[in-house]
Amino acid sequence: MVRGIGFVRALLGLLAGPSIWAGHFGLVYGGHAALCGAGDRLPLVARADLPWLLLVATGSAVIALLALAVSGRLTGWLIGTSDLPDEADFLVRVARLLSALSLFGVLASGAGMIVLPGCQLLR
Amino acid sequence: MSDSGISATPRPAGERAELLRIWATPQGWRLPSAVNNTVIGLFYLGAAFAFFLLAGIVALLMRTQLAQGDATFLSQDLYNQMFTMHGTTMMFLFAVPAMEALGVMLLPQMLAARDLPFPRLSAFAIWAYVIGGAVFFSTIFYGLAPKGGWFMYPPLTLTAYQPGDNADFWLLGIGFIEISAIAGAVEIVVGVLRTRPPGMTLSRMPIFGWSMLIFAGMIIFAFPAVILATMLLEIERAFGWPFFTAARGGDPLLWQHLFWFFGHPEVYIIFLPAAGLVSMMVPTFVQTPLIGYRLIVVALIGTGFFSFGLWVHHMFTTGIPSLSLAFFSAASIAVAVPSGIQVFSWIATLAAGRERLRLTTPALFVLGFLFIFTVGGLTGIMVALVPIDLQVHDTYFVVAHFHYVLVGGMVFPLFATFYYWAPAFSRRALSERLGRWSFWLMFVGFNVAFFPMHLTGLAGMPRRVWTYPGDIGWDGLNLLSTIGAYILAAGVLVFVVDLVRNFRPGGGAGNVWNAGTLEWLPNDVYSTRSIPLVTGRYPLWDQPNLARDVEAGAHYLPDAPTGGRETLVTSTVEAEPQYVLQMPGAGWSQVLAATFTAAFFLLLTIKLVWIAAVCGVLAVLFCLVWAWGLDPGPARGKVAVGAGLTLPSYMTGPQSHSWWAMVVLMLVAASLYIAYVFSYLYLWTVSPEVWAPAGAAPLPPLSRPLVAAAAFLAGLGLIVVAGRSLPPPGQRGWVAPIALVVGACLLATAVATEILGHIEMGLEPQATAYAAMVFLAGALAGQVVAAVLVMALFVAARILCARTDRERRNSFDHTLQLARYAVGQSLFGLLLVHGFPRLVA
Repeated sequence: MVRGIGFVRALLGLLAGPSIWAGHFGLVYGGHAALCGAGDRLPLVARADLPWLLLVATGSAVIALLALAVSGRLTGWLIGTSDLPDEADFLVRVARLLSALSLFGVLASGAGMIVLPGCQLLR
Repeated sequence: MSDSGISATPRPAGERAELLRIWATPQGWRLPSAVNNTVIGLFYLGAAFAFFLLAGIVALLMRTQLAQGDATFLSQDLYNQMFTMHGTTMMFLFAVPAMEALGVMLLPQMLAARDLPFPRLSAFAIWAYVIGGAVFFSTIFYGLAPKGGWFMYPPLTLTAYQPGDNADFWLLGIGFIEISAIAGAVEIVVGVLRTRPPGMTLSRMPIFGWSMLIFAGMIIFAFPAVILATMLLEIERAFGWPFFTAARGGDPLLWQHLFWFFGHPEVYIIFLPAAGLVSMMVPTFVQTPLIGYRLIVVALIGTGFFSFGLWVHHMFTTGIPSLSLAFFSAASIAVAVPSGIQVFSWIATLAAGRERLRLTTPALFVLGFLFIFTVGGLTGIMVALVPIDLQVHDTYFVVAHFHYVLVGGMVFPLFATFYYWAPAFSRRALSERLGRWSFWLMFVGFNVAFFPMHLTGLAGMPRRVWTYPGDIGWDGLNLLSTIGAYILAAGVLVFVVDLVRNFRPGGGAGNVWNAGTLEWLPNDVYSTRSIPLVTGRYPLWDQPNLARDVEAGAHYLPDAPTGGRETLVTSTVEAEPQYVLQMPGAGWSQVLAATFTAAFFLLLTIKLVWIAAVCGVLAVLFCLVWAWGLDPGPARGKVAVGAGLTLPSYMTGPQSHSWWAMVVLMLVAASLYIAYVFSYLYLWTVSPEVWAPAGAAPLPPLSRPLVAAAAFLAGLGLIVVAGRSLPPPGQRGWVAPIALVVGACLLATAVATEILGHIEMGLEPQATAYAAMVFLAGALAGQVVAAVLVMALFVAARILCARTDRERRNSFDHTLQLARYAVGQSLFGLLLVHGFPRLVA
């Protein structure tokens, strides 16, 4: 019997990069919509905090994705090990490439905040 | 010794005859009761193709109307019904079902499984779709077809602007198609992850398996959003709960968010399996393994994720702040990267092939796909840019773009698939001569029809117009498009002629392309004679004697050790054999359940509420009849599966395939609930000043939700106690069924406590969108708890009949799984409904 990789752990490790992209996307879009729509009614945050919140969210996502894309050891630890080393290696490489792709997605989404104002329509 | 390392000992006589008897397809009038994947897959694909032809005829009629300005060939009302039915049929009745049909037909063969793990679920999905889809489409013949466009935007589709039943046919008609799609997704996820042959690790899985896995995952997360949207709109139309009425705190844009959260991934739901099919065909064309297998897996997963970040690019003109548009514009551009990876991988494989590419019919269709889809991708980048989209939004430019993407990305690969895989399912291959005619007519016709639409759109012609003035310069381009449409139709007609002349189901013409994957192994009604041990990505190329050994029964499960239908279940990552899955055979319960499910939705549409209710009850009843025969128990013990291996014939807990199906089902329920939470919070961001509106009934005192929460937890506790009180094997018991039913009733009481609390405070769901959202939380909790209650009664009956006990316990375990989910969702709902307004007050 092969000592196998646990599926849930492998899935979470494999999808760590895209999940960070999804979390970042949901946070910046949801946070932006909530702050622009009802910023004056939210507890703890205000509309003026928007640039900082977006910057922190994007910076954190970029750091995490860089770590996942660069460090095979970190991604390998997330996915787990198998008696079939080729299988673990395949999953780790796919996970790292996915993190790199997600990093591009996060940078592309985050770039908008450098040039566009917070809550205006611009037309 | 075989080239897989398995020793080939002669098999006893009579094994093959026994397999043929067990897997025999019902004949004559019993044929609809069949569940074999090759039979029902063919029905499924045939029905999807029939809908493609019907929607195509509708398109030709529309093009005839548009061939010249000021035409009156069709009335405006009929034209509106036609463009709605064309889009709806192509997306819901053709594209998604066709891909699921290919999954049902091809996946078990590619994985060398005897069938998908839930054969009756596939059959249920197919019959619900065939019966419901046929009735739904027929509405166009008696003027009852919906006419709000395939995306049915409110406020146009609210009762005030579209009285009558037309819109309801869409809203309820789509319901059973959604059920059908989700049932198929459950089947595909469990099938791909658990029924691969031994040795077929994830890194050796055919790319079509990966693409179908991601396809199913996307259905699980995308379809619930449109299910919720259709629920909300139908509830507003039927009962006046104002989710989309701005005057009472609702917002029509909520529909657009929910619809496109489904609608944009839908494009990739259609495209990814088609791309998977192309990745299977291209290596065979040049007899070379796919270059960049790992990158293609990355591209498929990446596309699946990114596709959920694009939905607002359908809403660039709705007045959303520019920074939000930038997020979606960026994601819309980013998704081109994984698509590009696939295109370059296919080109690289073709370029590096061991053999020169022969321009056979499937190869022509694949090359046509590459050209057309790439053009569609390029215009996709254009419309992803906000300034360009503002100019071309709702013009024929967009019509041209998405037809290039959808026809190029799905229809051309589908026709390639027909020509490529026909010999695996037909005693005769399709004609190369007719195939070439079909391709060139379709390719030329398509481009003549749709390329001019870019220009018509840039000239300002809006979409969905019934006619246009004849003197503003649009006539020539429109006439050209109409001529192209007829040429395209001629190509499809040639294919139909080819199909009629040459497609003869049964058997198979053999591995005519010298392909390397398992669907080309010799097979019969039982799939392959034995389930192979796989050692590479292209087993027929890597293991030259595999076909001979498999046919000789040298691999796994060459017989039927449990005496019935069965297949191997393997581990998810390494594909290690785990147990023998016993499967149900032919039957009528799933056909009747599907029929009454379709009847339930369709009769509701025409307001025959009581008859619809009876049909709904009958649908549930037949589902229970069907489920009564499942969960066979461990009575047969361990069985020998060949190659010296012995495996259990029954499994419970997280290793069991049905446990996985329940997890998938709960993910669907959770996705629907997340869409609800989004809707609740979205409406608050739109109108925070009326959340809750001044003068609205106050929230019940906190003691009320606390009592409801206590009842939820107590109910779940009783169900857990029931699990610990299950009787010993083969015996009956009273404690477990009583605890189970009382526990489920407590859950129902908790839901009632919550809903009654708001009613007693004077809150009315028709008054405001806020109130409607509050009651909807209760309704969604009630929906899941009702399912738990039905399952609890069912399991209680099984315990009393000695069919469920401590060891034979899957039925109970799945009820407990759903109960845990129901309580989790309900407690979160209490927190949202009672906590959020207090937080932001």
